[in-house]
Amino acid sequence: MDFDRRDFLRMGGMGGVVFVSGLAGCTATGAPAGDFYFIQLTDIHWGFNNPNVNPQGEETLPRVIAAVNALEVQPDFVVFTGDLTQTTDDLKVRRARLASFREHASKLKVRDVRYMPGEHDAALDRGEVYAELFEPRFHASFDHKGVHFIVLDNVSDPRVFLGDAQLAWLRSDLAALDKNQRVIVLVHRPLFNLAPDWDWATKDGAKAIELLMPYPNVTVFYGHIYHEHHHRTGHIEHHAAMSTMFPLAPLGSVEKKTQVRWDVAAPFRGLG
Amino acid sequence: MTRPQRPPVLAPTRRRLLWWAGGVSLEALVLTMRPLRADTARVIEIVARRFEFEPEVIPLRVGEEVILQVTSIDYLHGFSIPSLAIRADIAAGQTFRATIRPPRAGTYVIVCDNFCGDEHDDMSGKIVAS
Repeated sequence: MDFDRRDFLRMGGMGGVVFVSGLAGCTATGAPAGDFYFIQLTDIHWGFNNPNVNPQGEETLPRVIAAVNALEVQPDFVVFTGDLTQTTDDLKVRRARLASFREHASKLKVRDVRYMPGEHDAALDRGEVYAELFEPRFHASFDHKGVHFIVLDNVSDPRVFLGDAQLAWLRSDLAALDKNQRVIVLVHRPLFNLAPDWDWATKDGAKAIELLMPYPNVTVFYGHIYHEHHHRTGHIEHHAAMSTMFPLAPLGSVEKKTQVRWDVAAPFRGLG
Repeated sequence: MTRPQRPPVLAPTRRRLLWWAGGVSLEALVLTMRPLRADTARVIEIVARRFEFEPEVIPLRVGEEVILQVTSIDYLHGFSIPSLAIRADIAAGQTFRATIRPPRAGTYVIVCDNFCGDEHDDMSGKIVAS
């Protein structure tokens, strides 16, 4: 794919730009790359309202959509990996925020846009409102140019489990694949125990990793932690993208999770 | 030819009975001791509510055995102390008890690990052992 310098600079400020030809199974095995890229956007928190943290919250989503639309070479698809909205107990407000989010996202030039819920969208009502406005099924798989994508849901159960039924589905979905199949897993929360003290984990995530382990070409993309982060469990790579709404202070730098105050001198710093 | 007579069964059975009785007494002793031990440990009551644990900070001495008695008043909160491998789901109106003894000085983070709402990220506390 040919990108000009301007496109690369634009991509630098986005959540996650994934060139599939650089992932496991494309370079090591010498298999045909099926060259394409997609964009991961995460933790948009549409409806978040705290001027000390982001006084321009209402600009974040339009801004990122404009940035994607400005790319000369458009991605094959855009995926939102959860926390599309800031949560609320009020079902009417939740519905309105999700609908507003969707309306903005419809302005993306690329027609293939995929949505996943985060706990802010789906945990308090187990995904009832989200399912009305988006997909009713929160875990799924699809194939794109030789890559098998698996979407997992570790958010609609507020106790943060994938659950036995979903794990059984994952087992059967994987069973149909060739062992060397390139697999990309999309999920909101980390599947591994990144920081249980900060609730950055999935209680039965290790079971999903165990099911994925026999497949040598697996990469996981997730959100939830507001930071870019890279980790390996065995040969499986896990990559997290930044939020578009607010950054958190880095893990270990503060005792409790802390949203970083807005920096007038460097607006949008630390955002995807 | 007459078969040799089997030894009387009375003696082994009696021995078994004695072993069994001994075992029961020992178990009874252990069972009796459990509540006594629990009674001697200090009970620390903790309230879990959206979006805080109260008290938020629990000072303890290293090695001090205490019982944490956690009651949720409004939601299915998670109560987790990852560094002590203690966790439970606590439904509204339910109480969870755990006996802990901090092995070394330091901070043991308490976190709600069930998503409970807008300010869920703030719902944490700590045990400070010194």
